[in-house]
Amino acid sequence: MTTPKLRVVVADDERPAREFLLTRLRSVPDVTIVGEAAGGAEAVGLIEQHRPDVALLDLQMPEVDGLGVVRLVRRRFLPLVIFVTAFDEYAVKAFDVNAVDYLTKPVSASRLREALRRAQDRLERGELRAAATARLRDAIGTYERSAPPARLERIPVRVKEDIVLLPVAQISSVVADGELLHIVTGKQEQFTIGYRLKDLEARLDPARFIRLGRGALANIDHIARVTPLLGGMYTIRLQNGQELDVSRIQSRILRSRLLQI
Amino acid sequence: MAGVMPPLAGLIVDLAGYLTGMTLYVMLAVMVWRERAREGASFLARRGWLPLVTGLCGFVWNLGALTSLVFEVAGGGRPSPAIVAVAFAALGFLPAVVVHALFDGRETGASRSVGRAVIGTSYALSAIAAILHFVAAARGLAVPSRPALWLLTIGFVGLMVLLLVITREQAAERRGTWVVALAVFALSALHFERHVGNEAWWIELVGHHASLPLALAILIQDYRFAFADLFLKSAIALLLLVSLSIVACLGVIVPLAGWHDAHGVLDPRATAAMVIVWVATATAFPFLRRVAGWLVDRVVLHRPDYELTLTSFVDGLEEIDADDHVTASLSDAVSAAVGATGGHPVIDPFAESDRRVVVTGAELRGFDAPASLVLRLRTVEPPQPAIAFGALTAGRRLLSDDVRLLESMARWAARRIDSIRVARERLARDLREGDMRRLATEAELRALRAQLNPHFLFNALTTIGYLMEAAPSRAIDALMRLTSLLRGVLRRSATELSTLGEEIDLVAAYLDLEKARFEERLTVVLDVPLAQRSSIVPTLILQPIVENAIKHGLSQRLAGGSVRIRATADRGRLAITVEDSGGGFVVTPTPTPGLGLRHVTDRLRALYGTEARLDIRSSEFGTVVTMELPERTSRLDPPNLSRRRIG
Repeated sequence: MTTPKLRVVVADDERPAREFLLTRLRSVPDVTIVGEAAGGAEAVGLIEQHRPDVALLDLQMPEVDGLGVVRLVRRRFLPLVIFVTAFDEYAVKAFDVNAVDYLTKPVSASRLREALRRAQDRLERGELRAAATARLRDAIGTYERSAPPARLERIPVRVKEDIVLLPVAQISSVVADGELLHIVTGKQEQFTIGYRLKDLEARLDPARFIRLGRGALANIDHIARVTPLLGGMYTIRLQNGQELDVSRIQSRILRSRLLQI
Repeated sequence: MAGVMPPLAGLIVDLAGYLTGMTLYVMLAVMVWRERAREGASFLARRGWLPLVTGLCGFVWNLGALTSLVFEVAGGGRPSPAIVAVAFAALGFLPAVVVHALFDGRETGASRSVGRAVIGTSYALSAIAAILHFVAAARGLAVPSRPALWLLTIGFVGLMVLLLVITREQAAERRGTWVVALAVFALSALHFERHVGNEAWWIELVGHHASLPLALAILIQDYRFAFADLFLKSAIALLLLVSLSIVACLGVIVPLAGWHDAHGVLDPRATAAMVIVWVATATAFPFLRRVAGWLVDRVVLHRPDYELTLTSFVDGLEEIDADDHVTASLSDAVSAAVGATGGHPVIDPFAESDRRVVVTGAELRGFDAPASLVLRLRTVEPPQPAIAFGALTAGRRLLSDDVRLLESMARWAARRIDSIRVARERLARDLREGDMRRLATEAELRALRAQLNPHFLFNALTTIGYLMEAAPSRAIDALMRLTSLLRGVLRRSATELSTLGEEIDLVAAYLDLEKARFEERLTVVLDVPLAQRSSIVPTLILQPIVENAIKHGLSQRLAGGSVRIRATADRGRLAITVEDSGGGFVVTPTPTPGLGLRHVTDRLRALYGTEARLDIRSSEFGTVVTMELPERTSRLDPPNLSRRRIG
């Protein structure tokens, strides 16, 4: 009995780099390329459509990058991920620390074969696969914390099967719910993303967003009213009608930032 | 000859002797007084008391004796008995001071009480003799009093015998000085006792001028005052000179003077001979001074040859090339020269305020370790080492020559340390310069890394890898672009200025590679008139701006975008604009420039001061970076050269 072929999706926005990787990939036996994407959003669609075993994701892609793909893909469809990067010290360090596979550009055929062989092993044993996924999420966390935060101007969110780039200016509030974040816009649209509040906050403009407590952020421009409660705390009302309580500590910060002329 | 000679010769010897005596004693008293004053001793302080009393007594005696002599010669009468009594009383105290000096603070082998008894006895003898003189003067008896002189003779001969017994354990040469002094004094007293005048000149010499060897004896016993060596040298030289003069006078001038008498006129031969003798006597003084110095240094103080000591020390210093070896060598040399023991480095709390090189006595208070001597090495730069020494061997005291030697040695040692430090500093500087060169190389590599970030480089290599399979001829082109880009960056790291044309070519190579990577997603527009290509601009100033445009504008947008570079010149100002089509994002109104653009700003400011500016404007339609510089076209006319030199 022959081993089933490894089903692979490749994502890179630069065609030459993607072609170079595909050429190496075709030389690996027992591999079927089920899709190639020229961007992160496209990759998410291909992954959910073809349910590949392995995704080779370029780390640096415009709009939705490699990490964004991992966040946006529905959990049950998430394949084994091998990141590809030209040179990113922080990413490489985060992957090494968490024993997550990655490849550097230009991708060498032997290293590619090795990474795919390891992926094959993990696929054959369920517990290894689960551990690899957990390590991947840890690595993303490590990376977010260590890399100098690049200001986020648009957040990729899911609208059913589509991915929408939501400009941060439209966000009214972000409320944490376990490992997920619920985003509400000024037009009362609601989105859910897999992100940690702390990591997201680090990538947002602190002049624009204010923390309300341990689990919530609000867009300062969207605050309509601030109501004092007993005990020096506040509750805020946003322009979209949403009402949120402010914790005792954050009330003090809110007072000093917003209520003093 | 003996018939003519005695009265005249005796008179000359007496006159010269008393005058010499007065000079010596005044010199002694003044030196001691000065030293006391220098050390800030109060009037009643015991320091230098004995030599001071010696000086006073000796002076009074010589003055009194001279007065008597003048009376005798001029008027033929006797001087006032009171004056004679005072003179002889003063003379009578001198041997007592010798005995006192012998015991004062020196190891004699006698117990303190015995010492006190002997000192007391000798002062008592002198006092009784003085009283007898005054009584005789008051009663109109013969002055000096014969019983007093007898008392002194017998008394001090007796004490001398006693002292010889007490100090039997002392070295013979040490005892020699005071034994001779006391013996001469006893003889002198005896002489005065039976003095009838007109005696042989040598009897006059020994009899009347016993106070001179007594003074020297006191000093030798008690050379604890710092100028003792100087005084002894001067005194001995003076005595030698006077002796020589007297010999010349008695042996040559007096006989020759007889020739004048015989002819009634001045004899030219005699006059010439006398002039020769005077000149010879005068020119002999330096030689006598050396003889006196040798006597004092070698025979009396047993010093090594200080000149030789210094020369060999200085020679030895040349071999040394470490600070602490210099101080160790100085410590050894000082021990050998003046018998100072236990030299060790000390912390000098007064290095800033006190500029003296040799520190002794009361000035040592404040040094934490007990010491009898501290030498400071006055180096040009701190730290200035200081060496402390313990007690000097055999109760020795530093005299002025010792101090001068120590000063010279310390100064030479300090100079040596200075030169060692200078040499070491030069070595350190050479090493530093080596470091600087190494750092400069590293900086070049860092600059290369900053100009061409690795992300770009690996992506370019990936692109070339793709082209090698897909379109080999384009791969060669791309490889050549990368080569010229690398070479351009490496070559330009060394220079500060280049032409806009060269910079545009470099940027074009860079953009070509990025175009190969992003393909149709990147549009490049270069709009640089030929006239502006020769304008002088800072090396590699454009590349970071263009890279920034690619990174923040275009590569954030899946749809791609454009980069447009323009150069315009207007009224002596060169404006270079780099414009990207942006990502369509809402950009913060006042973007904080990244590291690359900050570096550009810094370089512009360093090179042009306020004459150049960098303007960054961001909007949702893209970012426009405008650089404005003074327009220059020749490399020989660098911008703001003077500012660069200062900066």
